[in-house]
Amino acid sequence: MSLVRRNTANDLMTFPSGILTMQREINNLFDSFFRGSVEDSGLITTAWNPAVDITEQDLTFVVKVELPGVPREDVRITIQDNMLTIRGEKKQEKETKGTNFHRTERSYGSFQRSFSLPSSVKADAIEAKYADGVLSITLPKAEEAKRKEIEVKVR
Amino acid sequence: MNTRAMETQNVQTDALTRTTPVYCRVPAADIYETGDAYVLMLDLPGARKESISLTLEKGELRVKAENDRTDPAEGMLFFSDVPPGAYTRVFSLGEGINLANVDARFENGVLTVKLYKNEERKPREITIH
Repeated sequence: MSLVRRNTANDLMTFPSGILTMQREINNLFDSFFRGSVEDSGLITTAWNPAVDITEQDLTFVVKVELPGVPREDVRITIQDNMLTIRGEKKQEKETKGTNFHRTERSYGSFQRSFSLPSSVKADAIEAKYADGVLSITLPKAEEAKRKEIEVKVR
Repeated sequence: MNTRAMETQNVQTDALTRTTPVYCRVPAADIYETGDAYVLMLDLPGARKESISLTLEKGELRVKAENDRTDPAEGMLFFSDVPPGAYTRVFSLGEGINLANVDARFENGVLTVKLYKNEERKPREITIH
């Protein structure tokens, strides 16, 4: 048996990187359906993966990202070729640094998630708001992507 | 009369075979200690401040909150890894906490609860005579 130093403030960061990598690989596997870019294929190290819900409506896509404790100025949203990327960093509160931790379950550090949207969106009309730890991004669909109802006559 | 008996039976069967699962979500917590208090931080993204209930009873701190999760009626949910269910978690409190003095605030989806220590638990300087 060996003694392992316990770094309470940064448990997640110093967690054996193998396990973090494995977790990321599994997440990537599930995300791969919506992903496609090379820079997002797991080569970039992210400390945590915020949970995401995506809904599609007739005119918009709504992406909700759970980012508790992340100030809105630390979040960056970019869109390129229908690939929506949300990245940022959750910093540990200054006042908690160096204090005596009994439990650390919350995630800290940088994060990045990318989703390739199934149809084109109006990049200049994307809106994002942040409330109660949830970032909501509304992406209006481009004209050609809107669902059109076409009646087919039966002869 | 027959129909009525059938109805009652149906209701009972429904109650017994109800398969709708009740989800609850355990929020992640950080607990740290300062000189005069224990501080509990809970991630409650999507919870509204009004929906959070915090109760102290029998040496337990009980936290419950509704999660304002995406309503499937809002559209077609085609990707989701937000777990379903309302937040719920219970912490048992040790000795030495001044239960009359508890601070709580909710900001950016994080609930911070400050439980102050009793006087005898606070670190103090001993004067040498």
